[in-house]
Amino acid sequence: MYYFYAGFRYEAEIYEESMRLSFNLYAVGVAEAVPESSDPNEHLYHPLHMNPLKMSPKVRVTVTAVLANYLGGQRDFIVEADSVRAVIEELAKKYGSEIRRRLFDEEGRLRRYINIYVNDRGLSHQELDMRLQDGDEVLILPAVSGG
Amino acid sequence: MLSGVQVFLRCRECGKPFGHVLAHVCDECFGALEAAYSPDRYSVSRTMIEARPPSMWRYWEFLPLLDASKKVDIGAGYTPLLRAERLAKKLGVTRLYIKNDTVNPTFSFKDRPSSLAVSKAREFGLGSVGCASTGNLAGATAAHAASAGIPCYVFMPNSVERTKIKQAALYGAEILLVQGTYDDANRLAALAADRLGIGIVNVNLRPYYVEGSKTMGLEIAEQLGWRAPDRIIVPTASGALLSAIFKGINEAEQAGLIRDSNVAMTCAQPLGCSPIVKAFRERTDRIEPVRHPDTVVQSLAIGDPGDGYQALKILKESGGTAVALTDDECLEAVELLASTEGIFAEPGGAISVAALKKLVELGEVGRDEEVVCCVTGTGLKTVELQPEPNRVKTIPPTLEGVRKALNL
Repeated sequence: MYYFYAGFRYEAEIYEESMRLSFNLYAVGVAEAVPESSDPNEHLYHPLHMNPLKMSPKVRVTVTAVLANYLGGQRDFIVEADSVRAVIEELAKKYGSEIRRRLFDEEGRLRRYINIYVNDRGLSHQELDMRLQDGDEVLILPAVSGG
Repeated sequence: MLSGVQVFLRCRECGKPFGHVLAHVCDECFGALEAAYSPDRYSVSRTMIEARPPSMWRYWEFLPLLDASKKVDIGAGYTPLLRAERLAKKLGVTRLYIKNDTVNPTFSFKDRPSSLAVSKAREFGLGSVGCASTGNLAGATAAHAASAGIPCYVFMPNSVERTKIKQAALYGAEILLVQGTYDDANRLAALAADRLGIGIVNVNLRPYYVEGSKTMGLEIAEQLGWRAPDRIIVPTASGALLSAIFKGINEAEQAGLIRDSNVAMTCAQPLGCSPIVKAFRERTDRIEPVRHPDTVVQSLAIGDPGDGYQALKILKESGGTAVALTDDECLEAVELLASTEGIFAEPGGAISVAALKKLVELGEVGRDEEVVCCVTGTGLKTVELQPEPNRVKTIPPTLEGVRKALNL
């Protein structure tokens, strides 16, 4: 059995072992310590280049019209960021810092009238720095509704 | 015909003015928008109001509809305010009234905001309406949509009592039972309002919607002979009703219809979902949402109260208080209210009676205060929650059977 990745063919065993190794290194947080190969092209064909500590997860971000005012009129985004706070930073880089000021107070706390959800679960303030995963869905909504 | 008034929206937090628009949050601070009126709205007298038909629409000058021909009125409001002497005696108070909103067209106070919101949807030319509901709003919105002849989409948690689901469906609404909490349903409704252009009564029509609930406060004032009571106890979920009643009392005073109002607003929540009570009792200014409400009082199971901060502010400003009641206390209050006053409420309605009982016991409500308990929904929709009554006996079809059963 073979896997294809980046145009190269790998035997299953090698690929899986590499991914396992990659996962383990990530899990213990020492991936940065992996010695660099002397081969400058190594990253092109070795799956270890997918090291998640080097690439931020790609997440889908959804906002409603009232927030789109500060995001160039857009309501759907794909953002690469490690946490919800980093998502806001990425959006601020691209669309201007106003969005940051609207969502967070001077002390960096989420404003009262904003709710943020990850995969449909409401986040508390403490969870804004929680690590996101590839494919996570972040939803930012004004809090005043219902009842 | 009744004259029109000019209506606009403004941010309740930062004061930013908006026009007469379809919006519900401020684009500056995301605070709630509320309806405000031009000064000429006060050109109404007590006698003018008293001469009008007995419905919530008799307070036309206080309501944000511009075009009377868009009104959707199936008879919401102007419900009885009953002096409850037998119940008062049981609770050890002297002056107690029940505002009986179980007798609305769909049997809860939610007919008030729904009547207004569906009217506004027509005025804005929206092709459909909907709501996020803990049960009662579903029926109310669906009934008014049926009367207006427009489609209705209801988002409810699937834990809602079956009767409420069936009732809303029978009015012709599309019912979406969300596998989650009310707050999940509310989140979906907010997205539906944003993406699908549906007039969700308690999302994008919310500033107008809550004005309908204001009429409960106006009615209490009128029915007491144009004055405010010492205390109003309100079953509380999102905090919208409590805030609206207080706004109604204040506006009646500003309009010169009542004087020297000094009402203490009081909030009653089920213990398993009481974020406002918790914040009030712990004297914090942060309301922590309840992620997993744990109560049989479904109609008050809103973990993340949309008007929580406003309600908290009013409780403090008005010198009121807040109390949480166990499920058993709510169910007992249903029986107490029914057996003393002949009013059959759901636990989420009778909770105001449970709250009064507890607050008198705690010494937080004086025995000579004039108190109004708002009873917001009928018990017929939640009858499955009540324990089997022990007064039911099956007898043979004979007089002897009757004598034996009744010991007569």
